[in-house]
Amino acid sequence: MNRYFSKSILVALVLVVCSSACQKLDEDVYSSVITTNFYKSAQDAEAALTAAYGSINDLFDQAPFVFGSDFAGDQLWVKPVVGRNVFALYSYDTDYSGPKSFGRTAESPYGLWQFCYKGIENANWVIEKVPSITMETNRRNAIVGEALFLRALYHFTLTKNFGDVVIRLSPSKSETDALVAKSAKADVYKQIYKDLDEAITKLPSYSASTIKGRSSKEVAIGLYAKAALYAEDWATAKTKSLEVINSGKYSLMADVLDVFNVDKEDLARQENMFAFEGDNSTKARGTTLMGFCGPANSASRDYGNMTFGSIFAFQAFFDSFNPIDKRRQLMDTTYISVAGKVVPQKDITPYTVKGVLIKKYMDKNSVGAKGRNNVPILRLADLYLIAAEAEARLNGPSATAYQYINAIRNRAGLANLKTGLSKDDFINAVLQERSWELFAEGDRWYDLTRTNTFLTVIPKAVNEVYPVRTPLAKHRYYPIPLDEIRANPKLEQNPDWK
Amino acid sequence: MSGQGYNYNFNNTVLTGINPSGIANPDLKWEQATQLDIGIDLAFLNNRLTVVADYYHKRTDNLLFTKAVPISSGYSTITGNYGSIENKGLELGISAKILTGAVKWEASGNITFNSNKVLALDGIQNELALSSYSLLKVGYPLGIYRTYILDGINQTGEAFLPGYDARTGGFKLKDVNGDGKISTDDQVIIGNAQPKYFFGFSSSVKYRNFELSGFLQGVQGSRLFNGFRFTFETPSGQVNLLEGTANRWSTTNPNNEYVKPAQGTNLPVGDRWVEDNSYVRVKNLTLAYNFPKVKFSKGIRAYVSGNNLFTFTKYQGWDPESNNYGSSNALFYDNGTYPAAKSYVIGLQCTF
Repeated sequence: MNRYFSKSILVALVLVVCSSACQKLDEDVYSSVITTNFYKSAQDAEAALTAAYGSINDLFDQAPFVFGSDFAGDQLWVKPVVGRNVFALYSYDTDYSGPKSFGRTAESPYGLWQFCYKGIENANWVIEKVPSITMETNRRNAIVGEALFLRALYHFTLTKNFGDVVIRLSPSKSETDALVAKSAKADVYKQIYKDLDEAITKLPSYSASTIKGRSSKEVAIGLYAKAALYAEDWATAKTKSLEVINSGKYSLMADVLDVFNVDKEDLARQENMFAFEGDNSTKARGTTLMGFCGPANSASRDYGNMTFGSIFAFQAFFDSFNPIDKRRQLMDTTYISVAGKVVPQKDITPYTVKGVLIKKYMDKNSVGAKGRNNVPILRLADLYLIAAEAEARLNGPSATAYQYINAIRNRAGLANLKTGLSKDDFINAVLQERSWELFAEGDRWYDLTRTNTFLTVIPKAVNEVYPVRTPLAKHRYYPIPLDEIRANPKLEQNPDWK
Repeated sequence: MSGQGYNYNFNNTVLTGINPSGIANPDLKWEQATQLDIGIDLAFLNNRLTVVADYYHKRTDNLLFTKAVPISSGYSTITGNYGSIENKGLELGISAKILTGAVKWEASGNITFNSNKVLALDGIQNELALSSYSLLKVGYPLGIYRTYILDGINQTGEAFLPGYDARTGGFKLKDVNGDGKISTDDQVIIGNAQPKYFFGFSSSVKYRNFELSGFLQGVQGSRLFNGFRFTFETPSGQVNLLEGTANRWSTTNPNNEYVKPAQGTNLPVGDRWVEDNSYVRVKNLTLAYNFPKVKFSKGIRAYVSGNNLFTFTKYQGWDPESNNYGSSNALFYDNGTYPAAKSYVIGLQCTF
């Protein structure tokens, strides 16, 4: 009897074990923070916004924001090495295989695509989640405003480079969310307007207490003007640029050289409205621009403590300046070596005897190749020239149009522009002025592509390093990276690149 | 959520940004395997001869795999149950007591044929490059190699195709697709790291107190990327090179084997470094003497033994058995790993 009883207990135990083991394994995660339990406090909102700004570091560290376009332009040339020369020679492909083979995607348009969309994703979380956080209302509005501004800046950067692009307005929460088709360029600009309209209502005006590095209402209006210029919406470009100029919040630096003097970077904020905030502290990110511009082998202390001699201005570009133009001093045909000797032009670089150094990004107190330079994303001088161009396109070369271009010319030490120019000649003069004012700031190539003049301008911008440069019509916009096309069945390559 | 990397500098102070580190996948589940085994065990001659044969076919689905998502989503990959793989093969074993008299001789051998095939990767793409020489491809085994075919060196005055390493003194690469230029499309799948079969054989002979035993193993029909040789035969500067490169190409020393140096460039990976690493290796030989029983001990055994005594292979690296790099994505790479040591042991073993 006893034996029989114990056996049935055993059978019962086996049944219990089996039935519990056969239940579905469901795991609750306790140890990690996920999106559904983040975004609850004011600190969460600030940290999420910081992440949205973070992509600016990526855009300026390896500097695709500047190199992505300037390698292809007519002002500077890059040392002809694998992955860089393809942009000067227009021999890149949809896979960006040249830059990939040498780990240089982060400085190429591929990097622009990647970093801008990362920034948009991070901004989208802020825009979706922060409005329902309980916190001080003004700051909450400003946070959302900053995120909207950033989303507009990133979308603008994308459409300048790739034409029709994917508009992303909500965060990626699932695999399905990750697949979005692209939109026509005109729709991208509509969305940029919409985001900026909202950002302008939410952002506070620039003041002495604006935290360095943050955007302001006027910055958003300024970006609006620039986007409108690219959308060929001249009336809006004019209104918005004048709104910034007349706001009285910003003013041109008296000496154009001071805009790029790293020791006066805080003073320069009166003109340098929105910039990459470079710093040389351990945790901060610097920009490689300084190292690229200085002579090879860190040969001159003036340029920085670690410089590579990777980009130079074309001699013809240097020669296009009037010698009295102060902005020509932002380039040089000699340098002082570490030993204190003057190094002549023929010895600046082994690639040519006509090396011209670019002096916009110098920091003799750099830590290694990490400079403190704040690199302009939007500065007031640009808005003066946008105002001049937009006015001329609307009303011809009026006194107003002359007023704004002359402000920039006079500041550089030049006389007023010749009066009585035809509309076309005036507009060409503005484009030329933009080239002189904004060189090596990642702007010129987009002027050439938005006006579709690159096909005739580029073949003339040659030297012994790049004797033949013949872009085709398809090079107006970069191809969408093949990695994106492969992973996104909803997306088609730009027609010229199929 | 993570605070890695997306920081920004405000008022000259770096603040930490926090953002999602990936797209969540709430549908993750366990992988699923279905397996068929058919086996047979036979014994003959009063168990003096036994034969074991097994056929297996295993299919594993819902393998965790990372799939590329569009970069425009803000991320690069998502993890999910996307992969499938199949393994099938035959295992044969035979063991025999050949002599059972004063001389005892036993021997056994086994051989395994395995074939392995990737059935699905991420459900979208058919292939995934793992490195400049290896990839995963649906319909092919794990561990296939894809490289350029080297066809000599571009000699002085000789016309060469545009594209990769297009220079006099550079590698002449075979234009496999015949489009008149050398590009990644000219790479070909040239082999597989999985062996056609591998086998083992062991035997022992006892006579009186003496015992001689040995074990050998072999792998046939596999290839291995000799990354060590590739690295040190590629004259890109900044490292010492293997002796052969002293004979490198120059206008006065034209040859078809070692290219002209090209500092700071990535030279093409060619088929010459993917070597046949089939081998047969005598892993162990032992000669032992068992002393007769004495008072304090149940047995004393003296032996001399050698490990990895002989290896028969055409492989040029240090060890045909070395097989990985230490990272899962770059398997089947000989990085000049320290080879299996050849050792001799003399021992005395007492049992109490």
